[in-house]
Amino acid sequence: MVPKVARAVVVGVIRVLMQIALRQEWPSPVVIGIVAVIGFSLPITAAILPEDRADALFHQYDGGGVTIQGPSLKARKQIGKSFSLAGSYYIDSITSASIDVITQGSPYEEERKEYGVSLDYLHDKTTISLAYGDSEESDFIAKSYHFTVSHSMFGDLTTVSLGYSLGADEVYENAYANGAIFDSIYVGDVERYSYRFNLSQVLTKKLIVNLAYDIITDESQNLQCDTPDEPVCSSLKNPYRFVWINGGYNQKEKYPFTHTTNAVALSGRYYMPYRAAMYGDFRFFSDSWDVVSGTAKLGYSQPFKLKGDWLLDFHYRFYTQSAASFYSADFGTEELRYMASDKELSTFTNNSFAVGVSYAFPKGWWKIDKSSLNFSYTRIYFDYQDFTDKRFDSPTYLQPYSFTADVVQLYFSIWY
Amino acid sequence: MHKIALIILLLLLCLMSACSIKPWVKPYERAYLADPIMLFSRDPVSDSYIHHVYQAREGARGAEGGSGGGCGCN
Repeated sequence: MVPKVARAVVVGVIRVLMQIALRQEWPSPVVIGIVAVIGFSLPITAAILPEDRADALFHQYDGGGVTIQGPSLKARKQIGKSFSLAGSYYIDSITSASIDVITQGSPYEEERKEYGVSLDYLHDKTTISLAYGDSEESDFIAKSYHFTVSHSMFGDLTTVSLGYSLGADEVYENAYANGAIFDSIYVGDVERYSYRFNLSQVLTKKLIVNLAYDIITDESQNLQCDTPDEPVCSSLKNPYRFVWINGGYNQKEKYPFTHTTNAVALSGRYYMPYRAAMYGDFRFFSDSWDVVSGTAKLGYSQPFKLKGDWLLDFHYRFYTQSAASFYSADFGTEELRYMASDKELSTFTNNSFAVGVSYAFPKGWWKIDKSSLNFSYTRIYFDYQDFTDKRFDSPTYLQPYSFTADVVQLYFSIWY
Repeated sequence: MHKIALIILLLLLCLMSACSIKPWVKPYERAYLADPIMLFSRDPVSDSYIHHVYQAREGARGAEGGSGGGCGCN
């Protein structure tokens, strides 16, 4: 029954993609071909459910005048032979005096809570996953629904997944008085549609690669402002951000009503001597706002024994992007249909250096199969090319902005 | 362009019907691949968090191996 449903879903997706291709629109024939392989090769393979484990993580981000910290909890348990249920809880406690807040608003404190549940069903060679996520803060509510179907094939050398997600966001704009919220004004909704394709392939006894491709579309909906056809109403923009025009942050941003992004990533993992692993990721991204970006990551994991089992991991990550077509740090006196001065839409690069260490406790206490204590630290250097520092008292006033961020994670994991 | 798509589709269908691909890495040769060190996402909670850190500050998103979720990036 379930494999038939899965096959029907996959065939339906392929049919839609074929229709798109025949209309000579994105995605490309190559993508259609890859998806066709999956669709017509379904009944070949074997898969397993995720391990039963629980994680308790403390996270902290500190950079650019922003501090965000909180816990993240997740637990997963197999039910019977075919089901695996997972639940997660996450908090961001935010204290922000970022450059955007300093130049366009006032420092604030905020909290975001996120809940998630997921259910995986395994039948023979097929895994079907359903997930729901809910993220809430005072001015943003996001609900998301996810469906993924995976198959392994060719003697378990290949695993393919197709996924679809639907997101529904409610956007509000808070009004503050004396640092406290006294009103929350509804701006509009955002609907998000995400299509995912994933292919994991064993190439040799020591090498496995993964190809991922995502299309995501956001649409601005139910706008509640006086001029809903004007880009200044779009709920895709940040309601607190302004554009620099006529010598100051004098006007609210004006965003398009839709945003479509394409991302393709190739990852690899290679088994090295002494049980080590080397890994790399490369991602290419482009969107309908003319942002083009590239990401590259190279890392190394090395287990070792020192009065117990340890794991040392370090990696370097590089990210670069070009600006959106409607971005400018200074519009002069020019009024355009779409306008943004967000640093996230500017031309910039960042470099990350990360190190992590894990200690695996001796096995066999109570009902716990194994457990580990983990720590990781990441330093990120952000360097903006065309986003300038407009804080009047800054020593880098009107120069390209840059900042560093420190990210710390401490977490405890158990397998049972 | 649609002709290319059809050619690729037909080619793939031919390949699938005519060939039975045999695993070139046998099950007994997969000890290295079965080692947890070879997992793409060894710690999903940690990976999910760090993806969120980047996603909130970069224009790019997607193809990160997860199903994603609400951002709340205001």
